[in-house]
Amino acid sequence: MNIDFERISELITKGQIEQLQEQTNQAIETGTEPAILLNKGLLPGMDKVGQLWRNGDMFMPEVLRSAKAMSKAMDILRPHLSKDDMGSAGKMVLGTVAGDLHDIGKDLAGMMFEGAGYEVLNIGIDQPNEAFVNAAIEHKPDVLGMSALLTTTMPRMGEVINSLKESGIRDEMAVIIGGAPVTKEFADEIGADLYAPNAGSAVELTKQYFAQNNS
Amino acid sequence: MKKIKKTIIACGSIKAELENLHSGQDDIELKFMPQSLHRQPKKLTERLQTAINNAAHNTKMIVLGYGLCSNGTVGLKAPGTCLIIPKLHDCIGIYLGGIMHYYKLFQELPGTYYLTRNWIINQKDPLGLVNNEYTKRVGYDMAKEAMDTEIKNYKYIAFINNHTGDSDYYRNIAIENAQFFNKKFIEIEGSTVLLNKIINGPYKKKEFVILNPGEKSKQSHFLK
Ligand code: B12
Repeated sequence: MNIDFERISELITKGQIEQLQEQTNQAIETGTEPAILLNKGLLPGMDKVGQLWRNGDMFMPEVLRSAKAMSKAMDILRPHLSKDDMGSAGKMVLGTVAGDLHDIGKDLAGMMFEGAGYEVLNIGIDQPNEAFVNAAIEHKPDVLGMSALLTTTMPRMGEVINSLKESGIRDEMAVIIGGAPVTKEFADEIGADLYAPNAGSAVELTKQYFAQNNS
Repeated sequence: MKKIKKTIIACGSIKAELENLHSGQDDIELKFMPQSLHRQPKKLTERLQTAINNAAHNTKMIVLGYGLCSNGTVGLKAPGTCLIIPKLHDCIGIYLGGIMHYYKLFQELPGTYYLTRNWIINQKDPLGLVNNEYTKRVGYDMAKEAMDTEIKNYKYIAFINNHTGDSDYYRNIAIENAQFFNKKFIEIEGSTVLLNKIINGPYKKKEFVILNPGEKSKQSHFLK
């Protein structure tokens, strides 16, 4: 059967949860590769949501409805994703810095990385600097992702990077930061490896980064 | 033509407060921008730059009634005059009277959702958003669910009382929100200290970003 990936993307952006669940189930039953469904249907849909939001063409409740649709579809897909798909790209620790309770963007980023084959350990919101460092020590991630939506909490990212240095593990992972007020300049200033303006490009940039640094 | 002493270009969200404090000095001019611009910081920058350019030739100094506002005030410059911007992150800091107070509360009461007179009047309180904006877009059930998700991480709903307008009315709406969403209600005493400084100074380097004529504002100016 031919799967209409564009239609699946659209169901995500429109937040049509039940129809998306139906289509996802159908696609799986008719033998579509879960990874392909994810990469051609679900993730482009979520990426579009991020874009529409930034341009002011989508509002908060719709973003949240789409995020819910995505996570319901992921629930269906997850048991079918093979071990090779899950975590094949590496491990990521992801969280929002101390004092900051915003998590919508972070969770979208988490879904995109999961979709790209990362095993994502989402440590949640309002995480003290030590929590990032401890998670990094314990889980030895390939990527450490930090999110901040407040300019008051952005400086915590630099502090975490310094603590990683002090613990001697800074160079063992790529640090990527994001969130609406974060800029490339800020990322350079605090010594993060990567900055991504949105979750879709984050995955691409991370892939490029490892392609360059592992060769 | 004699130049006026000072032009204040401020966010519509603090209009009532600033007008209350402005004692009718005709050498201090107040201008306001629509509050809704805060949702699109890039647009805010453009609109502010235009307003600054228009005011610059006729004034000795421009003061913004804005904070960093999600980088909305980054990249601004005033041709031929000084540009002064409060070293704040957002309007909550303005209502609390300065950034140190904001930082302190942030540590003491993490997980607080602040409501001010202005947010309530504009129905930007969670309940107002659900009933007046979200439901239209996604239906009541999803609207309520979306708001529950948005504020799931919060413990308190705080009313910052600035003693402007009908405080009892605003307080009741804040309490209604807290009850509806199962949060604790608290009231915080607001302050007009910073609002007053925006109009009358003094503009100390600790509290304000002070830019020379033509100098551009940077994000780092605010983070120090
Ligand atoms: C929704 C929202 C909330 C919700 C949060 C719900 C939640 N569960 O997250 C609620 C209503 C609870 C809230 C509360 C507050 N908020 Co708020 N909030 C927003 C709003 C409108 C949207 C944020 C959002 O979710 N965007 C949608 C997602 C998809 O976009 P995103 O987060 O930018 O994420 C994308 C990218 O940035 C990137 N990304 C994000 N994180 C990461 C991480 C990594 C590793 C990577 C690679 C990428 C990445 O990928 C995402 C997808 O493309 C913004 C305004 C704005 N335009 O950003 C204000 C905003 C961030 N909030 C603001 C404020 C002031 C507050 C409050 C203080 C308000 C109050 N009255 O108390 C509190 C803060 C509480 C706290 N301590 O955190 C200000 C911040 C100003 C400042 N100081 O910098 C903003 C900018 C609004 C404004 N202009 O006034 N907020």
